[in-house]
Amino acid sequence: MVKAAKIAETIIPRVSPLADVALQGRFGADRGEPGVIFSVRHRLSILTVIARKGKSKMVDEGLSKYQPRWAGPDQFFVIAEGRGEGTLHAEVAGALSGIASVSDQSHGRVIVRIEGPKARAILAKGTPVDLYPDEFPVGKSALTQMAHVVVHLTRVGDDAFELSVFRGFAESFWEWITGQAEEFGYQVR
Amino acid sequence: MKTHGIHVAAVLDSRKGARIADVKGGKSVKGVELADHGHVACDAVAMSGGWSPIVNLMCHRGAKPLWNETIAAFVAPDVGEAFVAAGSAKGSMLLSECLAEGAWAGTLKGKTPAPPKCRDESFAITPLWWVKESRGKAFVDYQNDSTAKDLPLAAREGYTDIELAKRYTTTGMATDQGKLGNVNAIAILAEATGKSIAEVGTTTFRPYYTPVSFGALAGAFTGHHFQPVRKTPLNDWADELGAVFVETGLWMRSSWFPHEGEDWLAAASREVLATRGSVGICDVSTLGKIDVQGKDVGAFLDRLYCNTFSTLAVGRARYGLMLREDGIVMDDGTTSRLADDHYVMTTTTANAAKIMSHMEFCHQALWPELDVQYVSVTEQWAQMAVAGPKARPTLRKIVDGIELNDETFPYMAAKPVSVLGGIPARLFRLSFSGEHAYELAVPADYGNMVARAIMQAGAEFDITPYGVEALSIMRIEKGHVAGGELNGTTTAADLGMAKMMSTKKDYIGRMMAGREGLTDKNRQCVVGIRPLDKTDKIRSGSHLLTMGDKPSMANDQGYITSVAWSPMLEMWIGLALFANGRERIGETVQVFDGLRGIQMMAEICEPMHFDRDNARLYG
Repeated sequence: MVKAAKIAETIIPRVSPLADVALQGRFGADRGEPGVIFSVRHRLSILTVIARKGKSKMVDEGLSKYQPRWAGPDQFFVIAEGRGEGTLHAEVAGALSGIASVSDQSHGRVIVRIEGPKARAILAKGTPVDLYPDEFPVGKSALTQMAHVVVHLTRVGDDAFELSVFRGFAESFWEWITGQAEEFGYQVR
Repeated sequence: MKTHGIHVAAVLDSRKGARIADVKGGKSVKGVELADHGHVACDAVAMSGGWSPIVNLMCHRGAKPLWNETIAAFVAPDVGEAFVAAGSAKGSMLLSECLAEGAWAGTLKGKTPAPPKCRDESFAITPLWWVKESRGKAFVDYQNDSTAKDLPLAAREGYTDIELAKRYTTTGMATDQGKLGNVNAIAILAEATGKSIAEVGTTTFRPYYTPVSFGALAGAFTGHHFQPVRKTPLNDWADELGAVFVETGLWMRSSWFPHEGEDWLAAASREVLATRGSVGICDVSTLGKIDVQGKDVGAFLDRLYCNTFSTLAVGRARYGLMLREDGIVMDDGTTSRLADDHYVMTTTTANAAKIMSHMEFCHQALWPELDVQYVSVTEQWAQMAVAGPKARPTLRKIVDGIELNDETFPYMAAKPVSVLGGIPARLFRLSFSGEHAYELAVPADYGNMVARAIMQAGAEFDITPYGVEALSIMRIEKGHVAGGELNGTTTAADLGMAKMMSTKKDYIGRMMAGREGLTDKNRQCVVGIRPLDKTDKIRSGSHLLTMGDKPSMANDQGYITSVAWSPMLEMWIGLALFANGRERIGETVQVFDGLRGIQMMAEICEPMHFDRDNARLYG
């Protein structure tokens, strides 16, 4: 499995649906520092983990080292970088065998990171979620909708958020959210 | 007004008995007639409506405003301390009250400064809801022209509830949303129904308080951005090959791959011939894919589908049919068992989201005791159909480690494999086209690359990419049902799948599917149809009549649901829903299409037009 994972990621590269879309550079209003910085967290491993009936507590314990992101009642996203194809899934599904159902979503979702002083102002244009830090602190996640697209939103820093969307919507969503950042100026990294 | 040089002809105080009974003039005001028959010449009339606080924002979350008799107005309800009204917004009319409440409400953490001292002007109001002496039309709602007589009429007609009276008279609608006249309208209705104003109450307050332009609501969602575009993981591959895309819901699907000078039909026909003649590849990524896991997963699927899934062997796929609670077919698809407690379900493209919520409803509301988990994995996989007599030799070149044959991969096998030296994949031997065919799923980021590799592997067989048009032609040739037949009116039996309805278990739709009307032998069921004259073109939507009958609703025997030009049979063929159809195979019918002026004759036949013994499926 580990060997296959290495082959899959080294010989055959994964191609993000935003590979030719999220071009690096400075865009939008040209007034000093950019309001936000966008980046695509590509080549992630992403899992959906759902606790089996009556196993919530064991799942909470089993996932504690992965900093899981809440994604519904007894449901989480587990995210990791640099793990290769299928490795994280094998590891978590193995560890939680019989207590959780684990599905690999590494290719099915695209995570866009937005950070900077204007991040909240931009997100507020699309989501009704209250992003005031007392209500939505670092580490908190919400399922919401922006620009008609379902978005899993997580605050990862004081001014930093990660937006997870279905792969097929990634390009549309990227066009929308960068459009909303035009007035503040933005950088793509 | 005097300081602006406007002459005030009279100030009429209703508290002292003065009332305007009528306004004189045609296109402009010439004067007013008073209730005591006096007359005042003037060219404008202004009216004081009393003070009604703006309560809308506090009522938008559902709380109703409260009637305040003292000021004869509705005032804001208590919606909790996070949002309080103070002063005249609360209906307090004295300056001292306003100052005290402002000081209290505007201060945090209990520190209340002393409000400044002031002198109050007295306040009192005597409402005049309508002028009974009025003879002409007396408008209550100035935007919808409803009058003081309309509201008692509504009450006499039985619309005594304010919400019903609003809809009957249109009072309170339009852009002012009743801001000018609603209090009067409520008072008039109260009088007409013998209730108090507080008992009548108000209609529901909804955003927005001020009119909002559609442009502001539409925002950036215009033109190309009207709705999001959903691209499949094989979009780039199809685009490179010149695909023409078609919108299917939000998805962009490759529809056909034209060569120079080809129209859609020429392209799709060539794609069919090439696939049936050798091998074709098609993007089927948009089919809904749901990972279903858990201890009770078999039981869960048995209740959702009318046929049985708990008995399905690991490594196998099965076609499934789901009914609605009323016994009508809801969706179909193949579902495969990957492990004892793990299935992957497929749904039609159009119903993917609906089936997901159906499952959530069934699990949460009907059978919460089942230990089952499900999540959409549609977007995780790039899925391609590889179909045709050369499908297997093509795939043999890219599948790692196993020799593809009828033993390792029989019809309806579904197993994890790896391709191209290490890419994890799922291979399903399924066929919508009727050919020896496979569906290969790989993690989406590898999709374009794998599709290109399959093109390379199939080059020696002249592999041809095909789109949803060719897919649709082939399924009609094979008599497979799709959207035209799964149209929300058909039962499993109508689709020729009565045998799939298990008699050994309970499932959604079982009871209702047994109703008299749903088992009537004269129901319209799926048949094949072909024009008698092979050069004729049949069209979807045309109705079918028994020979000799005149076109009428009473004589209607059914209608054509799907048609295609069959390049294999070199004629137009179709599927139809036809009364008692299975007993009438071979009958000649009239095809009638009043809309397009078509009248021709056709033959009813078996739905499966092509390769009736399914020899190609196993070939």
